Amino acid sequence: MTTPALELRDIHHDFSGLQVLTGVNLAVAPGERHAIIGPNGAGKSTLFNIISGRLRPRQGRVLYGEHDITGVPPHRIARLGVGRSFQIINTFPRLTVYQSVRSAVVSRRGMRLDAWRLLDGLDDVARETTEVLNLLELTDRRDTPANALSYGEQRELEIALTVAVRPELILLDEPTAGLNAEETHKAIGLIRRVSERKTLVMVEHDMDVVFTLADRISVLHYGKMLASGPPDEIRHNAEVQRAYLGTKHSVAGADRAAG
Amino acid sequence: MRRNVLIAAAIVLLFLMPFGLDTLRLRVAIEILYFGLFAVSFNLLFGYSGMLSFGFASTFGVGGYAVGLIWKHLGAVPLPLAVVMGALAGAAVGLVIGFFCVRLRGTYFSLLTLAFSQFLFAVALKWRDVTRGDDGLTVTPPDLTLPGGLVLHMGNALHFYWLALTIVLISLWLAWRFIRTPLGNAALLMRENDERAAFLGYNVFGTKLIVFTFASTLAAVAGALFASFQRLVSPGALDLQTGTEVVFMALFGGTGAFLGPFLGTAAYILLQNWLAKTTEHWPFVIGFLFVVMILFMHTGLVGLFGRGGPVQRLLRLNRTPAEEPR
Repeated sequence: MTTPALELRDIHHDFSGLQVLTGVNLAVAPGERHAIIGPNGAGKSTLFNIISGRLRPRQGRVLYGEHDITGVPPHRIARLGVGRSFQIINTFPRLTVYQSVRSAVVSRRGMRLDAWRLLDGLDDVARETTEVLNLLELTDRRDTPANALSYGEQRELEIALTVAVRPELILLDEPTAGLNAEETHKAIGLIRRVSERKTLVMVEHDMDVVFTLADRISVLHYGKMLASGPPDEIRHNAEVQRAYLGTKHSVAGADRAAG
Repeated sequence: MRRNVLIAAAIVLLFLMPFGLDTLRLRVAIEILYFGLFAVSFNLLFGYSGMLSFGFASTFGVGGYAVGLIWKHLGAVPLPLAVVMGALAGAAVGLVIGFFCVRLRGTYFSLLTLAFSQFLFAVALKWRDVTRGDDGLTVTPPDLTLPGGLVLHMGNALHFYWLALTIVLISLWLAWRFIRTPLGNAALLMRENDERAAFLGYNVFGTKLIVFTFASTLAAVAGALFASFQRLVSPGALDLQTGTEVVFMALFGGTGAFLGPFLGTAAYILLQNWLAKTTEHWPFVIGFLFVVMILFMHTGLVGLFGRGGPVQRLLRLNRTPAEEPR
């Protein structure tokens, strides 16, 4: 087997004694689109924060390819090629869409500490920024400050910032949270496009999105991985049905979504 | 293109301005120059990077003490060189203070900068052998011989004005340029959302420390000019009042525009001079003004008179109400 793009080994975490993660194991293959699902409070966001360096796990290791990134600060993990988005909009409120994405592009090109060249005169940066804006269909909003965007557009900017650093591993934390059906549909296409030939790990509540996009699904249930496998297998897993997908009704809903 | 011509014209005007001023007013102009630079450097930290320092006077004072000590112990070092050395001293102190402060955010950051400035104030006050304590350190800038044989006399307000203007303009240009580089852009990210910047690969601590150090360096330049002009530097240069005055001057002018703090300084000093002549209760008026500013004018004078501000809107409304944009 090839080295996983991302591997979690026996991750434990607690908040002042409250056990949130109790031995999570996960392996994500390179190029895979992997969804983590689970009820509220299952520890999904905590897991994301641990992978991206926001939190250091009490126990266990996080491996990104060959790198052990357990407890490594976020900016170092980002520079290794891990990009993450946030469940709650987390952008630069008073910067325009263009300025925000350009900041990510500048970072990708390793020019963060350049104190000499003028930013406006850097044509490559401008070109690359425009490409990202085109990819995310944000071009006509380029001069709008982030805090003046509609909620759906802010979600797109959230993804734009994440992919503008050209990560090999993309972590999306509930990318469609709060979107209506039409916006969600658009977001699915968007996520598919930006995760082309990359590894994607996403936390998502919307089963439509999960069963449409994911190659593999892991179910997190009260701090442990209940199951991990291809969508079909998860859908018919008795334990998952009992714990999470719950009633026959919602499983049927998931079936419909996948079809 | 047109803008460059305007800037060039403004600079020429500034160099010619002393011919229209008596010595007393010229001295006020010089004061505006170095306090203006001080306020702009403060705003690099506050307006651009979101770090509100209440102890920013510490590096201003360090710049002043540095040139004073240089001339006392090293003899007739030319003023520009002494100012550069003072700037380096400010950078060193800024680096150390910043190392401890920039890890903190918001109120904690502000309070720790305040603590450091109080500490330096105590040092300036008590380390009498070096600083001469309360009496203050006499600062004796030597006359400067320019290439070509022209001599600038430091005791001559006109000569000092030209020299100070040159140094302040260079410093302002450096600051203006800085915020347009990728590093200056990173400073904006620190203000807007440092956490998200970290997830994009920005080193938050490193970026803030560099900005803090750079702003401190420019503040030391301002302090060096201040001490050279006053020919004296005392603990008052780095006390709490100097540290809060710069906050007020920057806010007064407007922290959202590059030159806002500079204009705020000019307005503040002119107003203060005028008030002091008019009434002995001038601190009351200044204090009242500050309260009004904080309550009703967050964007300062620039916001009041600048593009899209209430004053311009009012004027336009009177002229052509139909053409009101939007």
